[in-house]
Amino acid sequence: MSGQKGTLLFSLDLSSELMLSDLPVIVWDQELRPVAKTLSTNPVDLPPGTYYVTALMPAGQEMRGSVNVVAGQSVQVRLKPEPQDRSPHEYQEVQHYLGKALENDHYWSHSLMVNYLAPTQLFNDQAVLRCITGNLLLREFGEVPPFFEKRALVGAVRLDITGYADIILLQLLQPGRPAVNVSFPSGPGGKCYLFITRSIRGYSLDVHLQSTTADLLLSYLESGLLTAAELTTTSPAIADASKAEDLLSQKMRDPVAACVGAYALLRFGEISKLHDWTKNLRDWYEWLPDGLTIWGEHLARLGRHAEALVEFLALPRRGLPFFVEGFSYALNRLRLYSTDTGNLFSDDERQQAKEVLYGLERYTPFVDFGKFFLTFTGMNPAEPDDTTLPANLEQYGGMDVSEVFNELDVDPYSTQDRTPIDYCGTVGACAVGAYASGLISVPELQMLMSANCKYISFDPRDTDDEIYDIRVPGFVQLVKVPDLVWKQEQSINTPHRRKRPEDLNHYAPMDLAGATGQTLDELVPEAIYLQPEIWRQYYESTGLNTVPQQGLLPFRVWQVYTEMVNFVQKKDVEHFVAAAGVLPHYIGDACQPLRSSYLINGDPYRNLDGSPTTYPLELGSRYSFDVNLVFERDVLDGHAPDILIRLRKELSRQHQRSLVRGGQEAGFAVVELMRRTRQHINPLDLVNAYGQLVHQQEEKQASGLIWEKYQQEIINIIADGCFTLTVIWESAWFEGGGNDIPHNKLSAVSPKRLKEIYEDRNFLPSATIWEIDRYLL
Amino acid sequence: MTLVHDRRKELRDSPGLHLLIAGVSKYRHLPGGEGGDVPAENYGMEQLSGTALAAYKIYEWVRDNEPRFPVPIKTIRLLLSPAEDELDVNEGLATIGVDRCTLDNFIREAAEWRDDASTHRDNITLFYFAGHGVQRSLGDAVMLMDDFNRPGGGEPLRFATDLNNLYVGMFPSDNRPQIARRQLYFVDACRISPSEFAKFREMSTTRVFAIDVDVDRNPDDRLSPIFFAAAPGYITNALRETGTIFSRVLMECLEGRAGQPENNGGGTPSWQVTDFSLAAALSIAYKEWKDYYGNELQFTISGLPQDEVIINLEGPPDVHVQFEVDPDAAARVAQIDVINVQHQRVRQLGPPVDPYPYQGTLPAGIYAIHARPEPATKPYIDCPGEFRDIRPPKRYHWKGKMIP
Repeated sequence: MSGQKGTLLFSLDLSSELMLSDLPVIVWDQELRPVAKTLSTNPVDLPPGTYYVTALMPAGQEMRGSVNVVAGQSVQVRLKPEPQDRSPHEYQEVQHYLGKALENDHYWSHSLMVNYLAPTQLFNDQAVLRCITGNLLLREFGEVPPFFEKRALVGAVRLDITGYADIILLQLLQPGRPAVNVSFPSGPGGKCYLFITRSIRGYSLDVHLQSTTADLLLSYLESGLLTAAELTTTSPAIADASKAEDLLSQKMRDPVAACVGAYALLRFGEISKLHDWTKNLRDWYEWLPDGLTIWGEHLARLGRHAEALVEFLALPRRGLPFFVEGFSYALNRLRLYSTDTGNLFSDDERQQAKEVLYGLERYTPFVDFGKFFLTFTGMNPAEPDDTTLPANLEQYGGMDVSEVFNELDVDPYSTQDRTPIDYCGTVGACAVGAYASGLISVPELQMLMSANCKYISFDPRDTDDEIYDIRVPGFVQLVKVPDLVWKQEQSINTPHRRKRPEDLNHYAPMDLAGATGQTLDELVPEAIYLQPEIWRQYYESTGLNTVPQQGLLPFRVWQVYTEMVNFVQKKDVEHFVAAAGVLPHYIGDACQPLRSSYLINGDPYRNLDGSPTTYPLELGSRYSFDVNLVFERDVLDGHAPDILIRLRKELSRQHQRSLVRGGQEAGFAVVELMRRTRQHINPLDLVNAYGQLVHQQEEKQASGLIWEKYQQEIINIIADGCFTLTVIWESAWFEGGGNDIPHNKLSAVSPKRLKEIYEDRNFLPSATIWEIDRYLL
Repeated sequence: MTLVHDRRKELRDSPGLHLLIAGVSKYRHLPGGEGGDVPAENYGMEQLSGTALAAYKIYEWVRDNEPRFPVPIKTIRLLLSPAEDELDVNEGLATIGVDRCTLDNFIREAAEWRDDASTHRDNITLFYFAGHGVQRSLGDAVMLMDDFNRPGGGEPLRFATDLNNLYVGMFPSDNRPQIARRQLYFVDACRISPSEFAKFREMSTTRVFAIDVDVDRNPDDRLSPIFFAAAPGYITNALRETGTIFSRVLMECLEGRAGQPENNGGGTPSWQVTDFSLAAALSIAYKEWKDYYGNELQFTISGLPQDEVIINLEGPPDVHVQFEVDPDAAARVAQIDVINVQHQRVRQLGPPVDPYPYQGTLPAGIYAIHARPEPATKPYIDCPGEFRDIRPPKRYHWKGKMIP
């Protein structure tokens, strides 16, 4: 260390193998000058001062930290992601920071009710994974049995595959789709990791390399983050100019990582850094087709085209390159050489180039050039095509992928961000939204709501497939807007999201006795007592001092009702439909027993083992802490078809209810709905029943047993929700004078317009109990 | 006319920037075209709207921002096949009167462009094409010309050219030892493989350049990135009356969003856009379009990119910022202060913060953002911020938590 300088060290706030990777970092001074571009494993000597350090991840998140460097001392800066960018779980870190597949797929699976309605029509659970060995360009190949180490992740499975069987290709078969082939560059004795995720669209494969740094480099290249990619090539783990020779002299500890480094240097045009080690890649690893393409391209860049052609002509002996980059180099060079009009190549050489080119061009229409690993479709991998597979895959052998998920007990739809409060059971809200329109007795209102039914939830009259008939990009059906749009974390690109204040609108602890011994339920015996000030006093006296504890579901309904009336009065049909369309979500929440109870996240006064405490416990430490998740997701969503069929019968019975007047009465109608719901299903009974199953280590039985016990009550409470919603819709319609609206306006609103409305932050603003008064006027 | 800008005589032997810009919206032999018989087979392709306009706007932008480039503009060649609705919305496009982007015109202009590029190794070339495209491999893109699908037989892609051929044709060679070593390529076209093409054994295009493979082993020492508006297998999109998304994002990035500071050893850093910073900014800007509009866009880069200057910026670029408080209602009493690294308040918002959320720009730099209730109002609390870098290409979103 220089006497006038201090040493800066880096540490990463990561948990997975990424923690040890060579992450590219940039150190900025107070003037925002980049004073160092280096790797997180390299200390940097700097003059004393304050510095800001950033590390950009391939998926776009940025880790950062600031630090004061003192002369003559070493200081460490810890780089952390922004809270909203953090990986939901350490198991997902590699995919979270290196790729994008998970977030997109999960959004999809969450956003379609049809998932719960007719899973078999949408997504046949069947999938087969096969391992292929051999040489596809020579059409000499066969299937080998898989040798996997299986690991369960949250919502995914990871297979650690060792290349002792010379696997070159993984083949994923799914009914009704073309077979997908993904090259698998493990090499003899090497290892690769295969992540399998499942969404409503089916299974997807994601291959990762054994070398985390090579994996990182690939991801940077794919993302177009070239400064980071170039820095990563300086890592000892990657074959850069000075270190590569060391690696090669040891016969390359990881020739696949060396390939990645070579492709990166070729892409950056840094030919001088390649020296002649790319020739060693070609000479030493007969099994590696990319040795030929890398050395061939290297020669071509040096203008040694005759020698380059020799390398590309040798490709059939080794097979298809593992990397798309190499496949493309071969294609482009052979196209050029086969049509050469000069004197460099003989007719015979040009003819040979055409033959090899033909072997490659058969693949081009079916190759996904957006991937780094060569990926193409076709049941016969030597004859690529896009023919779809039959419904029954038994004839193909291979490994049953769904069996792996079952064996490891992985729920493909679970994610860490689906906490009990963050994610609601979809069936209740969607069913309420869908069926309530059929109960409306006012013809004009029914005409309007029926016309918009499929934009609100689903239209019970439709076949399931028609639910897909919504083409506006990013449109979310209204009933799911509170969860999938408003409750999501904001970003500058998604300013319409609301997160925290919206969270509070989905529950209320009605049954917890406060300081006076009274519960909220008891404090609101009649509509007139439904007042924010009473709730504020209750929360303060009960010690529920933080805003996240202060649920206010009935006031949200009051607010929505008030706005619905306003919209009707203004004859603003579009906004009315939007407001009426999100309301079923809140009513659906109100008819879930735990959402009106302090027991929503388990019993705060009992430990995990059931022993009592005198103080409230943290969320994850409570007895039956995940009871609501189990009830809404496993019990309700898991029995969706049954619920929908029986609900239809229940709703066919005549029910009479009085209309309400004013938002306060509408809110109180919800208080009463919550009360009736808890009478049907006592939250404490539910907590105890589930806790007992956990204690007996039989929680896997919970879905079936709880459904068995409460199925009629469940139907009753959802039906009650449907009727309550109808009452509130009709009341707002009458109160605003809805029948004065011309009939020609009572039609479907375009989803594009609805999206504009629900993305407007001034539409039904989400507020805390401290601010709600202004929206209840 | 095609050569819309010519300063060769004036600048004589000094290096300069040579541009070839082409945009096709109107395809005469696709449905809706005006080229006589439209063949029944159209490979699933229709007329475009916005691509010729995009090319014209790129031309205007480059022309108007000449001082930012490392060398002066020497030549601009422009080929445009606009659609009627583009002519209606842009007077400049309607009146410029350049040749259509037919295959013959393109080949002719490309040859002259290459000749000009070959006069000085410090020349810079810029190629931009917007129109229909298909792709066959990673670094390759087939660009369909105005007369694509013209009846009369021949290969399906007879009236199309291959970027790879154009790119390789710009190699340094014995015939062109002084060709520009800095070459920039922008391809604003889809890169899908229509299934109709799969049935052809070869998809040969018409070559722009005859490639003489260099027997003297000239190394390819160009700095020559290729920026593709679409990754292979993806489509790109145009906005009616405003051009393509790519052209719009590209100009935004060149204006400053892709700016990166360069450590010049002291004082304030100089800011510039390089191949690398442009690639990163395009990726992020595309992701924003995808987040907000749901478009499945995917930018990619190929060729030989380096962290080499494309344009210089006059100072730190503006960064889009958005400031909010949690909960939203606290904005009525919130005061938000923006403090620079000298601990000076450079901006005060509120109370109340109105309009809310605050959206604006800040010059790139180190800042801290503070929020507090003014006057003190229950249940809101102060939210002090920490100093951090605020710089492009990401937009900066700050949300101060004003509740316990």
